[in-house]
Amino acid sequence: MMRGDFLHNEVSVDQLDVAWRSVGASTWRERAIFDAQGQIFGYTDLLVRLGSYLIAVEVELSPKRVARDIEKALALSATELWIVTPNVRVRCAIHRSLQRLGQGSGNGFIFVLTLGQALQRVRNCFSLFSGVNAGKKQIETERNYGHGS
Amino acid sequence: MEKLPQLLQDLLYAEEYHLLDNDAGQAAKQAFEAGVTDTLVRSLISGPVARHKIAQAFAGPFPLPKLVHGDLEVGFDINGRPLRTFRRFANGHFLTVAGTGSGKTTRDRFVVLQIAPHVKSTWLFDLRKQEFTTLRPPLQRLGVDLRILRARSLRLNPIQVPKHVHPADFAPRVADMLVQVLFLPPRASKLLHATILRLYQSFDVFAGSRRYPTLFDLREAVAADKGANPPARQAIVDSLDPVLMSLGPEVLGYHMGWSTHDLAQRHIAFELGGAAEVDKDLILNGLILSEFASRVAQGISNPSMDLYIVCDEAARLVSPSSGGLGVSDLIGLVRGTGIGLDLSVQTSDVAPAILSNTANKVIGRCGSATDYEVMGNAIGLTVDQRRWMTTHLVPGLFVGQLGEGDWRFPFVFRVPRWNPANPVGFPATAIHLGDLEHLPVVRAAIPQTSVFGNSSLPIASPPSASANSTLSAMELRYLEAVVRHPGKPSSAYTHLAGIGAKQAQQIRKHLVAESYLREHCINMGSRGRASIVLEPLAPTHQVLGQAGNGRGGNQP
Repeated sequence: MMRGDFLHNEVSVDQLDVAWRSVGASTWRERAIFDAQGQIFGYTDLLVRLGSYLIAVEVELSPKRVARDIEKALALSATELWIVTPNVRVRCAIHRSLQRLGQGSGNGFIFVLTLGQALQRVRNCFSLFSGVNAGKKQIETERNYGHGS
Repeated sequence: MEKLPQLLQDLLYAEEYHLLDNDAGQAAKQAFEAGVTDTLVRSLISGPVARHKIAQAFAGPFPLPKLVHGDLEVGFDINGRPLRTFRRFANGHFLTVAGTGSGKTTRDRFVVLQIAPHVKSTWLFDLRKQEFTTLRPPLQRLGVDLRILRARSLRLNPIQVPKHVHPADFAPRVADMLVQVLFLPPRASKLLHATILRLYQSFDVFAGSRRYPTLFDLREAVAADKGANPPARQAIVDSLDPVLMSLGPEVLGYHMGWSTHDLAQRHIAFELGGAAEVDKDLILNGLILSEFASRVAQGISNPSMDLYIVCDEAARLVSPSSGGLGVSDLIGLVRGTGIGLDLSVQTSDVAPAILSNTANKVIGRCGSATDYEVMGNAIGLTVDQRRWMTTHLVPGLFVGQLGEGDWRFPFVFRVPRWNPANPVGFPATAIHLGDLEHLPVVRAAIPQTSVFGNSSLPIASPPSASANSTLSAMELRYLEAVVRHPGKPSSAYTHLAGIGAKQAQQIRKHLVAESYLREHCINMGSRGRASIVLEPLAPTHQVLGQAGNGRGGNQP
């Protein structure tokens, strides 16, 4: 059970999890992040792997933990960090918080999105990536060129 | 019959053992097919064949495997070269038959270390010892948090209906599982089936209630059913009592225990060594059956593997005495649902369905000729290979056959010794529940006299529906729609509850004012006005738990 409340878990993370899996991504909820010493550094709400993308998705209902989210995404070596908010008001607050931290959200690493925008972005940007197809291609390549020696 | 030309014989031999898979070999094959049989083509075809025959002469009766590609190391061949296959082939299940001390657990650990970081969940069942505990430090270094559970730290309800499964479909399966686990007579299966259905009805499980009857309720219901077949009834009561007393309310006293859906998101080692045999059987069969049934009911088809289940000493799970019930029955269906099953047993005394549905088979040193014979037949070994196996297999050395991939011949392989870097750095007795402590459970009130005293108590029935007297039928319908379809915009419930838009708005405002629901504003679309999402609060669950009684358990 994740530690968030109804809005965090059953509305936001559930819907994002379903959306990601529908485009063929592998997802992990409440995935532990370990530091260099092997200690648990924190947990990410949703970790998504699709092809070469490793995306850390954090659902935030306030801007309090944004800095921590960035640290966790960096510890994961994630390719993108999505901070998903329930509404525009929280999204704007997080934008301001990021600016204070000197981390604009237009750097291609951090995306601050409302839930609707996040779901739309999954459908728009990732629907043509398919883990299944990638696997088939790999098998085909190995069949044609591999198994040498 | 005319003898084939030597070059053609060599070509066929080379094809069979994949000796021409490189560019030069393919070119030589194409040239031969075009009619070219000059010295170069002969040397390119016959050369590898001659070398292979020489190597094979020293390798024994098993062909030297050509398993060079893949992301999962099966082990090492007799020359110490790694043998690889693909992780996705584990979806076809593994069956390992080997005697005690032959390296089954070492092989399991070797495979788990490679698979766990790449799947959502691994369940490691150790029914005798605590040997998977030592995997925690190395898995932690690989980014996997392995929870360690003991039998008495679990919170389960074996007759809790898994997610996505209809209660009427689950009742016969759980009845069969209990018959198998508790060694009950066949007649008991029908009695249990009918009683579980009745309990589901009285607890409103058919109406969507998540307050399931417990095994204590089942025991009381059976004991109180005076019209039931007396031997079957007595057998159920006699068999359930020790289990209920042994595991007790702290393990089994939950209307809603941990769901396998939640457990299947985590890496868990179930160390069941200290529990009684029947307790182990109940826990193991209950967990696996629930997850299997849930996945089969979802109709998932060929996803990538996300749950890898290792069961060390799985004899009781796959025993032919199950008569094709429980896991043996479901294993044929779960292939392609994202579960990889790795079963290890000491003898070949397994149900035919298990032999038929495990694509990958491994045999280690056994103590009985029958085991070699049965597994030799299953793998398709020649007489020479069987003879070699009986005299040459040692701990850590196995004969295997993979169900998928280009190389389908049986092969000999060795798994590396297990040398944990810090064998004493991690206390073997540590239980690590992790976030499992926060999983939602609903505790049941256990009648103190039910199992431990006289057994004349009636079926535990839900409390009377007095608290919901202030709510109308339409309001109850609206609440039920909110609970059954969480996270939807409020406008969706108009249709789901079958109520007009204006009336739905009034009902919503009333329910929010009465603290049955809480409103949240969320931008569900990429643009436009925020939607209102309704969160059901505790009074809603309470009122729905009571309200289903009068409506006969119909689905809305």
